[in-house]
Order: sequence, then structure tokens, then C-alpha cells
Amino acid sequence: MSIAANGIRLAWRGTWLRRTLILTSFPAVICALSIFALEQVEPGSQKRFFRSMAILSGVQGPNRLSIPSDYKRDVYWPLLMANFFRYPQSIAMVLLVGLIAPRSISFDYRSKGALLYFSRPIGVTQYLLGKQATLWFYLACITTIPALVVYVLGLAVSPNLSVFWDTWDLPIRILISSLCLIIPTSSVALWMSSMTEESRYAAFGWLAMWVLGWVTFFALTLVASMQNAQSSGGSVLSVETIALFSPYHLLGRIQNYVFGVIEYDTGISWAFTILMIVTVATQCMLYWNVRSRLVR
Amino acid sequence: MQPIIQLRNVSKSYRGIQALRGVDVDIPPGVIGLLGPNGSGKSTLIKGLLGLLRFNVGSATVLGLSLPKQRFAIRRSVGYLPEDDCYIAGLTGIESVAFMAKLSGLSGPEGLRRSHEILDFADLHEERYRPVESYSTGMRQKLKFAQAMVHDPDLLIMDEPTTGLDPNQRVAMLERIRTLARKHRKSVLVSTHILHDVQTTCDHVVILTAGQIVRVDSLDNLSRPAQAGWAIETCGPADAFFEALTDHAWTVSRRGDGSIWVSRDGAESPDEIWSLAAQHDVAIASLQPARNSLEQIFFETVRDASETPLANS
Repeated sequence: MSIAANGIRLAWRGTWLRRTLILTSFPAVICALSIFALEQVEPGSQKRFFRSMAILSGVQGPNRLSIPSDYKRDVYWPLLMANFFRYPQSIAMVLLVGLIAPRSISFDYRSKGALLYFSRPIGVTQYLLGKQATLWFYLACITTIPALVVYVLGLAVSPNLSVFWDTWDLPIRILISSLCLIIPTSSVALWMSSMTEESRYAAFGWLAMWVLGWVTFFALTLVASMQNAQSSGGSVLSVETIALFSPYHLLGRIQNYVFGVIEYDTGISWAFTILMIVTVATQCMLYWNVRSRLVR
Repeated sequence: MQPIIQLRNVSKSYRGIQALRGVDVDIPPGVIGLLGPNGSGKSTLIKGLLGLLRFNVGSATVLGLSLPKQRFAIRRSVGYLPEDDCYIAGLTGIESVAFMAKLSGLSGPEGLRRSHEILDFADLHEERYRPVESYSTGMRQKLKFAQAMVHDPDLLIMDEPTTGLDPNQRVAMLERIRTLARKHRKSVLVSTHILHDVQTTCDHVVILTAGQIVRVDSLDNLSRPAQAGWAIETCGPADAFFEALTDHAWTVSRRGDGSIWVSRDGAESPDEIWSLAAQHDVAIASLQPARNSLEQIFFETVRDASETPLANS
């Protein structure tokens, strides 16, 4: 707890972090206004609004979301939340983690602060939990907390009580989606920080991972569309497969699945498996990196 | 007297280096100087005592608590001042010390109160509100001292505590160590290369060479020469005086450090030395009981150890 509290306080001193947090609160406001508007506008307009949102979510192929002709909260609210997590907050997460995580452990290496921690009654596991909890706190501040606040506000401004029965599972989906986003990303970012004394290398590695993922995704999508155009049999590369090569798209598919926006397919199993393997592997390497520094 | 540290046949090797070889020692309470050449295993021993690394063989207790099982309890009762220039980046001095207090289990307000107290004792005043990155080497040394002491440990392990301090600050740091030991009844294990610091501060000395403890004794015992005698300094030439001393069955010897020692079996007072000096018109600048210097003890011990084949090798 002390390590996490200290990490949160130290990170809060960063001007850019505070700016990022302020900026990332705007999408939550937009999300809240959308829910408010949906509860008020004509049913026809609701359907048009959500068809465009479904396209934005990348919902296509066999998983195409059937947009009901009448307004259904159990479909629309999760879709709105999925988009909130998928677009503004995932990008904000990359920036926020890029601001906090790289210096988190590498600074302790450089200033030999790790020796100060471990001469106290704490172990490597507690140290790493404290460091990760700092990231979890800030990531929850831009994802879980605003999403839950929007949900509660949505309940509050809705015209009748049926809204609760329609959307009771949404907070659970928000929590699961947050876990899927927060734990693997903080684990990877801290692992990078634990590899070097130079935080800029860790920051570069973190950003490069996302950029390379995006580039790979778009390159493979281009190849797939060219193959589709050339042969009648279609491409061997499906969108589900391509998404596995990009961390951003992989997380996006998982979040869409958690919010019920897309249905289950084998690509989802693969995405969950990859996420689990990456999380466990980076946690083990993170532990090993910090532990091995102690005997130097 | 219950030893503060007990090591039984402790060995440690890593990366192909045998850092400690069958170390077997009881370290008594008080101020203890841990001496040894570079690479003799001092840092490994200290890290082992804190439970930061595990000994391969043997058993160890610190303040009656066994390693590695009770390492967290040991760290609660032991303060550690590392040799390295280490700090938590981004914090001010007072925040650093209060943070260490929290990590040691003190509550927030109590930790802050203790932090201010110990920073006053460490002579770090308004500077405590500055970021630690802006501190000079001396200030950082004081800060490390405060961090090590903030949770009021029974044993303080200090690795090179006077490194980087100017003469005044060095004296002040040694005085702090003495105060802790004499007034607050703390035990202090000081690992240093500055033999003078050990001579002026410590009660006991532990000498470690090539991973083995080669000498453990009180400084009094170590300093006492095999034969009682006196160290003499004269003003001007005094050859005739020394010849007269030899004629009166005194042994006159010139030591490696340039001082002249005179001794005789059964001699209990220097009265005869004074009278012979008066007879030969020699002015004595200083006459005091002869004591082995720690430097001499250290060099002789290390030399003897390096000439003796290692038991384990």
C-alpha cells in the first residue's frame, strides 16, 4: 500500500499526466451525454445513431450485430461502453502508461532505490504489487471509474426503473473489461521498465509495441483485401486472425466480446490465450529481473 | 553477553565466486568494525545478514532471529545504510525518510514525527524540504543515516558511512555513531576502509579476508602489544639516551610508522625512562603506553591470512 500510495503521489506531480487525465475525462462526458440523449430522442434516430456506432466498433462478418428496430438498452448501452473503452480510453491508456510505467522501476535501478526498498520488511512480490497498483489506479481512473459513473448517471437520468433490469450486467462487464485492459498492459509496461536503467528505452519499447501492432494490422488487412479481390475463394487471413498480431486490436476484440458486442468465435479464444500467456510470461520475467538485481 | 550476530559455517558462492567460506563467528553488542580488503566478502556478508541473498550453507541469526525464515522481522529490527548513493527519485528529504518509516511499518503521523526527529539528529535542517536529487554527497550520506535510523532499530549496519564526507562532517558522523552506542544502547556494525574511523569509534573488530573471518577481538585486546612498553617521541637527537636505555636492559625498537618503542620484561612504570632522559639532557615530547595501531594489525592479519593456505581450498 505504501509503495502504491507513494507511486501515485509521485506520478501525480507530472504535469503531462494531469493534462492527460483531464483530457481523458471528456469522452466520459460525451458518453454520458449520449446516454442522456438516447433516452430522450425519437426511436428512428436511435437506430441510425447505433448503426454507425456498430460499424465503428468493427462489428462485421458473422458477428454482425443485429440492430433492433426499437430502442433496446441491453444492446445500446454496452455498445456505447465498448466504444468508450475501445477508442478514446485505449489510446489514452497507451499514453498514460507510457508516462508512468517506464520510469517506475528503471528509476529505482538508476538511483539504486531498490536497495532501500528491500532493506525494509518487504519482498519482491510486494514491491511489484505496489508498482503495479500505481498503474492500476490511474488506469482505473480513466476506464473503470468514469464508465461506472456514466452508468450510475445513466440510471439516474432514465425515465423509468426498467433501465436497471435491462442493464444490470453492465457494471460486471465494465469490471471484466477493465481487468482485461489494465492487468496485461501494466504487466508488459513494467516488464519493459524492469529491463533497463534508462526509462526512455522502456518508453520507446512501449510505444513501438503499439505502433508496430497497428502497422502490422493495417499491412495484413491490405494483403487480405488484395487476396479477396484477386481470388474468388477469399483470403486465408480473416479479421479475427489479423487482430491477433496487434495488441490494440486484440484487446479491442476482447472488450467487444466482454460487452456482448460480438459473439464468440475461435479468434476470441486465441485472443484470451495470447493475453493470458503474455501476462503470465511478463509477470515471471518482471519478477526475475527485479530479483536478479538484488544480488548485484 | 548475548551475541547480536551468530554465524555458523556460513558459505556463499555465486557466479562462480566463493564469496564466503565457512564463516563461523559470534559478534558481540557494541560498535563493531568490519574490516577487509576489497572483494573480501563484506558486502556479501551484509546482504546475507539482511536476507537479501541466501547463504548456500550454514546457519545465521541476527538479534536472535534466524535467517532466512525471519528475514522480515530482522529488517524491522535492523537499519541499513548502504554504501551506494541510493535514493528514491522525485521525493524530498523528509518524504524519503517518512516513506522508509512507512515501509518499516510505522503509521503515517508517527513516521513523520520520527522522520523530523531523526533528521534533526542527522543535522539535516531546511535541506529536508529539497528534492534529494539536489543533495550534495554529504547531505545524501546524512539522509541515508536518517533513513536507516527512522524506525528505531536495535542494530544499525553501516557500509562506508563516512565516504564522501568532509573532515568536519566525518567527525560529526562518528560522533553520532558513538552517541547511538553509548547513549541509546544501539549496536552498530560499521564496514569501512578507513581504519582511523574504526580505531576511534569501535569496541570490537572483525577482519574478513578472502571470505573467511581471520580475526575477531576487542580493540583493546588487539591494540595491546605482546610486551608492555612505551612509545617515545623526543625533541632532537637522542642516540646516547637510547643507548643508555639498552644498557639498562630496555628493548628499543623503531616501528614501521616511525615511532620508537621501549619495553622491558616486568616494567610497570616509565620512571626510569624519565630519569635516563634527564641524565642525557633529552627533552621528551611524548611518552605514552605503546599500542598497536589498527593499521598495523590489519596489514599483519591480512598478510598472514594470505600466506596461510585456505582451509577450504
